[in-house]
Amino acid sequence: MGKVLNIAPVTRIEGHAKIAIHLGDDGNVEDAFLHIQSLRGFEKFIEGRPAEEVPRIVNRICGICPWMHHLASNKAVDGAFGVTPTETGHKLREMCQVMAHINDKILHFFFLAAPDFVLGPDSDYSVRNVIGLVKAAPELAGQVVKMRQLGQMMLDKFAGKAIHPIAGVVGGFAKPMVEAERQELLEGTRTLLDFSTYALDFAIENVFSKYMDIISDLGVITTGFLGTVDRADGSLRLYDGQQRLMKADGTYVDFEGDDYANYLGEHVEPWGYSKMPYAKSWEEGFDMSLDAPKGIYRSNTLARINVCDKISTPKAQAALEAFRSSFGRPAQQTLLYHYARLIEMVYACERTIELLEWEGITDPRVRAKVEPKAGRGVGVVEAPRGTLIHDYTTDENGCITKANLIVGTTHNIAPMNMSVKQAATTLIKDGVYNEGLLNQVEMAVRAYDP
Amino acid sequence: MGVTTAMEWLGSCSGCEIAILNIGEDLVPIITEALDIVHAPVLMDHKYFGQCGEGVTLTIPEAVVGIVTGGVSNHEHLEVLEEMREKCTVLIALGTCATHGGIPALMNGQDFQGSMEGIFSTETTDPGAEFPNVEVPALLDRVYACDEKVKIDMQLPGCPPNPALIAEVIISLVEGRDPVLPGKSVCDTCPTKREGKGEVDKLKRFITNAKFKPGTPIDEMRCLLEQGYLCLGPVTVAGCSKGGAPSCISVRVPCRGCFGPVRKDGNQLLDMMNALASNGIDYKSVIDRRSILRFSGAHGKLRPVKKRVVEEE
Amino acid sequence: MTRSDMVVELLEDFGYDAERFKLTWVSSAEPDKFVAAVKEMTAQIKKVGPINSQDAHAA
Repeated sequence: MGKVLNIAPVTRIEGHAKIAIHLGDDGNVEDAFLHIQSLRGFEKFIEGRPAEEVPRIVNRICGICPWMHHLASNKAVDGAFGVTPTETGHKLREMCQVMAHINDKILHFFFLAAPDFVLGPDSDYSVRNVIGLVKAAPELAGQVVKMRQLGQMMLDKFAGKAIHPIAGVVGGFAKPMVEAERQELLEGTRTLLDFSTYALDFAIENVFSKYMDIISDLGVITTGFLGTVDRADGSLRLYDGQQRLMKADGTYVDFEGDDYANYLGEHVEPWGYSKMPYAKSWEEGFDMSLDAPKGIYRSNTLARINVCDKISTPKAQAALEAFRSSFGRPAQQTLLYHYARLIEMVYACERTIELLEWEGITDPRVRAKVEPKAGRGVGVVEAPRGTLIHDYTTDENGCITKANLIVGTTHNIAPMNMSVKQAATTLIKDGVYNEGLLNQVEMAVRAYDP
Repeated sequence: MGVTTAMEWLGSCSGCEIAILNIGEDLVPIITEALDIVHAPVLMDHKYFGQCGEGVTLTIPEAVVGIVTGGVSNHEHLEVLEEMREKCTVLIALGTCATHGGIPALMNGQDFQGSMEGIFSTETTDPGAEFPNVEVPALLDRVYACDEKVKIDMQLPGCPPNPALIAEVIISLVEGRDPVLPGKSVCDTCPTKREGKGEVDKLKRFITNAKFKPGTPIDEMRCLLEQGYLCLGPVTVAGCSKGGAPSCISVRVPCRGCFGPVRKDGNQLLDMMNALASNGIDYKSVIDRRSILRFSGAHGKLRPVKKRVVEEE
Repeated sequence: MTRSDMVVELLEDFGYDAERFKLTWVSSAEPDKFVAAVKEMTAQIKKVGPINSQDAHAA
């Protein structure tokens, strides 16, 4: 009999998971799994609730990306009630969503992922964390804490709550923006843009160029990708657009969010509470084999950077061009998620500024007239961790009768399992393993920011 | 060296952890000097079964302070919570899930197991999918607050909890004094204008925005309950405010009770019905009354609805 | 009257049987009515059984 290594909990991620590596008698990896341990049941307990209340319930699905659930939910309720938000309401929502992306990226890259690179994958676990980072690079860490706080406080002040927001409402937004708020937010976002371009340069110089050998190997698998692009010009979109599902060979189909059930299915394995979405429309079924995966695509930053034709803002577009000239399209290296994340952070800052500079942003008409009624609505946004889909059906009182959610992280559950297996198989040979190697297996998961 | 501290999350969303990070400027001295963090899955790599995963017993290091977020809904949560109790001198339940069940305890209002199984038969789920049962922790019969399972020394609710209060709790522990925490209701700390009862006899849904003049201070806006919206300010403990009005009110949105009842064992639904009755507002105009307990459904407060017994002739 | 209606509805909200509560108006000159009401309520409570038995069943 071989043995099982239980890496639990997987740490410096945003949820609950464990890795189980099954070793055979010869000490080589027979199989490896990422088990998702948590199940809460949101799809069921929002049944019967008045739909307009749901956006302030489902934000609790994730405390790191509550804005994403809040807004996908608002879009789904708009759809079910047949309401089109006012233009200003729509843009205020987008601004909050894009701003929330900025904070999320600072958090993930610097607080969770960076210790592996700055302190080294093999450094002792007691220092390989943000506290170690503060001690090793106090100036950088101080700046990171300050920037993240700035972003959170901007959202907190304008929208009341940065965590578990309430300001998005069916039909638009709960309050208009006044000129003083606009000026303050613009100033803050410009500071964040400076920090974002600095962070990207810092990471290219100190992380991506230094760890090229690990990047080209660790957790690398070959899959398709899913993201959201502009309907007109195929550029990167986070708040709205059409969905693009790309195969590993770079060919793709575009579809509207309402039509998601024709393209995506969810596979269930008995060993994890999370479902595993796959590309049903490829009509090849579901298989996580490393050599010939079937139906497997990835979401999150690398996916979005791969599927988009371009980025509509100048600094992020320049970064995308540099990225593509080094890694091509689509890029498959798992650790490039970090690189793509920082490109997206630059875009998010530039896009926030664009929205704040739009003349209509301070228009007081922020909410359209709303009548609760029976209907069905699908709301899609790009959450940091992937395409997020909320699909609600309501009764004649405007209460939820049925809900289906596909949460960003779940798109990557199957790919993460594959990356874990790939990493474990390559790193562990003849029974030789140690903490540093096992941490590298976790790094393959961490790149996906689950 | 700081005070040894262990942190754990149970059935949670990570919002409480983000609230800890939102402490801001004081965060760096707290995590590097005041505290010596020995275990915290979100931030550092200490593992349950040894660093190479070879152990068989879930182990968390001993610590003076333990901070737990999230409610208890499966056997792994229970095991982790019991281990935290065992190893920590002072155990703090942080966030409304840990103190009152929070949003996930809405599931307590339904057939728990049946609804959980229903998750695996949605439109896009492959037909014939079975409920996962290998290597995943089995579910309990409902969602529990932490103090229903182990002794809790300090409770700090909030969804999310207020970073300033988290800092106050941590600093008071380090300084060896009692923390100063709010005990009044959201209403008691709300600056909106109250003009007296009488005009409103029915509540309306929040499908129109409140009446206010953009850019004017909150104290120039009329109380949202008096504007005819359900606002749970009267039955919710204060603490969300970050210097001004309560958070939701500050953006002209009514309170939904996310800090839980004013007294620890209060009942938000019962108290709100009383508040409405004494203001002459028809309780039947509240749509989906049970969701007044959406943040405090543990402690047996939210239970599946009993069907009326039909007489058999 | 409204308050007692509310008690019934709230009992249901909290997951208890509505039959556990009943309001009957009886004057001091109506002993038979009083006896009948008590008997009826006792029978009804016996029929729905102890509250805890339902919890045991649910678990």
